[in-house]
Amino acid sequence: MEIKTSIEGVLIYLAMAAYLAAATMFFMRRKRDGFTLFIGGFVFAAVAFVYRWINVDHIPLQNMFEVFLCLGMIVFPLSYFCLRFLRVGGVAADAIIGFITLFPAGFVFDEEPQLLPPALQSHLFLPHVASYMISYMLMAKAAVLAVRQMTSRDECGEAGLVSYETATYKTVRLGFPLLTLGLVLGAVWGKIAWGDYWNWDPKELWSLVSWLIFVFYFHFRFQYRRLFPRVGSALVVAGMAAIVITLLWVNLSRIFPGMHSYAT
Amino acid sequence: MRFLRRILVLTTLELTVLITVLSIVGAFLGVESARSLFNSIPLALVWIAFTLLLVVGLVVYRSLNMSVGLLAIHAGPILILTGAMAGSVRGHEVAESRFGRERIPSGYMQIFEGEASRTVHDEEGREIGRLPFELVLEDFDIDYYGGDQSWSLEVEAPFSDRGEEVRAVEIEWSEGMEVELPFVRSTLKVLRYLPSARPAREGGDARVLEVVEASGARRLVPAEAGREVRLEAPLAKLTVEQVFSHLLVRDGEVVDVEGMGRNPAVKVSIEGEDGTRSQRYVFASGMMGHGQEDDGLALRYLVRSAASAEPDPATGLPAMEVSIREEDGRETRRWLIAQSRSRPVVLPLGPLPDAASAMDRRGMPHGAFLLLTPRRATVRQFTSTVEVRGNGVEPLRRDVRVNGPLHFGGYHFYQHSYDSQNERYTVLAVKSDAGLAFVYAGFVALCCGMFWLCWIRPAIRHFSKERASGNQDEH
Repeated sequence: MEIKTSIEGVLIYLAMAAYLAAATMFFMRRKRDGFTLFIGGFVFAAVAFVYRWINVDHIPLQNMFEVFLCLGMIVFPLSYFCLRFLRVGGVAADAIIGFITLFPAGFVFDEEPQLLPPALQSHLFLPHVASYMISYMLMAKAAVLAVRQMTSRDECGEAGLVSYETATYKTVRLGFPLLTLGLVLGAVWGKIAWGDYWNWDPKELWSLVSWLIFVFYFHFRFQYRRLFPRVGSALVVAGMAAIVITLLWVNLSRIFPGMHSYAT
Repeated sequence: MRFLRRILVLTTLELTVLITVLSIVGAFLGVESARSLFNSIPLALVWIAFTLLLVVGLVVYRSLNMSVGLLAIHAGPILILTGAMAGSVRGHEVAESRFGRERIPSGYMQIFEGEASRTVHDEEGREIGRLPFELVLEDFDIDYYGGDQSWSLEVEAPFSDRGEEVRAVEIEWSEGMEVELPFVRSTLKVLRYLPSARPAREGGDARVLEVVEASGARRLVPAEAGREVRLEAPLAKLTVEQVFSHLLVRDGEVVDVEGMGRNPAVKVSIEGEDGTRSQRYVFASGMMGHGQEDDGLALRYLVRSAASAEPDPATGLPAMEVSIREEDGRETRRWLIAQSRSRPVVLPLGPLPDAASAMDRRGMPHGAFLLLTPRRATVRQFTSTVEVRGNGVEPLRRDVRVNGPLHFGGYHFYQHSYDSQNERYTVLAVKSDAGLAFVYAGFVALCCGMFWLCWIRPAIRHFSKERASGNQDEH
């Protein structure tokens, strides 16, 4: 663990503090203050992201520091979108997710900028990684809602909002096309860069595992939702676990050497 | 029908679980093992079963056909799997045997600058086919971040007995300035530096094996694998078996480590008239190697550098004349002449003052080295400029880059590798396009169907409901 004294580092710490304070306000049912702090955290994270982009002179999604900074930035817009258009709650949990995702960027991963290798110089870099980042945050939100569904007796959730089971489904439904798009764009990019749209790389296989779990979830829910609602929620949590493995374990562990090594 | 649908859904779920579990297993097995697993006969049957299941699903569930989104997301994987099977090695074999369509599934082409090739090799370098057209490599270029490479002067410490740990210290130098060298009791002065030069003597380094027989007869033999020398009785012949640029004993095996150049050596075999054979290692450092020495032969491995260098703007490779003064006042002058953009020039500085033995357990001499070494600049892009000829078309000139393949004649050509020493050849990966159109069509169908079903249709319904409830409020 190291304390970063750079501009990006300071902004990340401010964003983390704002997210934590926002979550506290939400738990104290002070929604207006909570949203103000949540927006403040987003602004700090967004400024850090833009600053990083200008500093490195390429899309800042190359290494784990930049990826987690991006994840911490997009949590508020996605949370607000789900609340406003899907009537899906859980904003307090979203603020905590934002805090958690910024933690590795603030204290763990090296912020040293890297030059883009030839393999990453592609128009598909931004859409491929961005699709995945947005879908990952939506699935994380869905996983938290799924846990609430499995552990709570009250299915209705907050007033004016949909039940936890429906909220989980709607959030997964929102994120799954982006998960699919990320997988497809990765295959297309692999074809253009390496000659094969599928290399049986550990990262690709774990991405496929994540995708298949959610495919399983949709089919299972279609057939057995009323009989086993908690099983569906457990599948969402399992899908999120596979995403965490795809994002972290595959990139950082030496158990899985492969062609995506530049993401470390 | 209800029972059939239930079986269909259950089977789909089971196959999904199976493929998920196998994917997890494959991730732990590694790329090559996973590739073998998923292309094996049993898994091929699973893929075919999965594809058929999707087709049957489209028939049994009428609702899948009536909804554009549902049809697309289920037809998409069918197209993808069909295209993948058509593009596989077995798919190519079937296409050739059933339809007479000959195509190389994949391979590699090594093409030297200025030369043409239509030969495709596998990973081991074996020829697997020839294209109906040829590719000519007009130029190969590497673009670095921050401009061209620069070079530095370093002294490298002897290898430690703890392992292959190496200490290297960069030397601050300027022409005419005398500096103390680390690790040894010597000083160095750079007499002359040429940023772009070539050896003044043709051929650059000369590597020869000096053979002195019991009678005193002396011969110099080029150190090339396969070179034979007839010897006087009772010996018959000496054969150069292998030339090492850097010999190292690793886990009990003798290996040649490319790019290091500190420990040149030659492995020779000596055959007697009675048929007996022996082997010996001869080191350029002069250290005694393994192998019997009671056969009356004295062998020395001489690596002679060019006597001097002269400016040549074409090479882009530097040269440096140095003077090394020992503690006892002896002075040695040498030229360090770079021969490759990726390999350092190595000059032995002699044994360490406090070395306990002449050679360590890895076969490395206990000595320090002076290196003129290229700084590791980061590559921005690799570009092969190729011209496609033949096949009854106008010659086509294209740049092949990473993320910028060449598409021609039903094949894609990708920038795969290159001559890392002298940048004189490129290696292009060759891939057949068989099945690719189906795969891409499947991707499009899957994504469009997914966005329609999950985003666009719910949004239309949502806004229609809002509008309807708004109209009701007005009434």
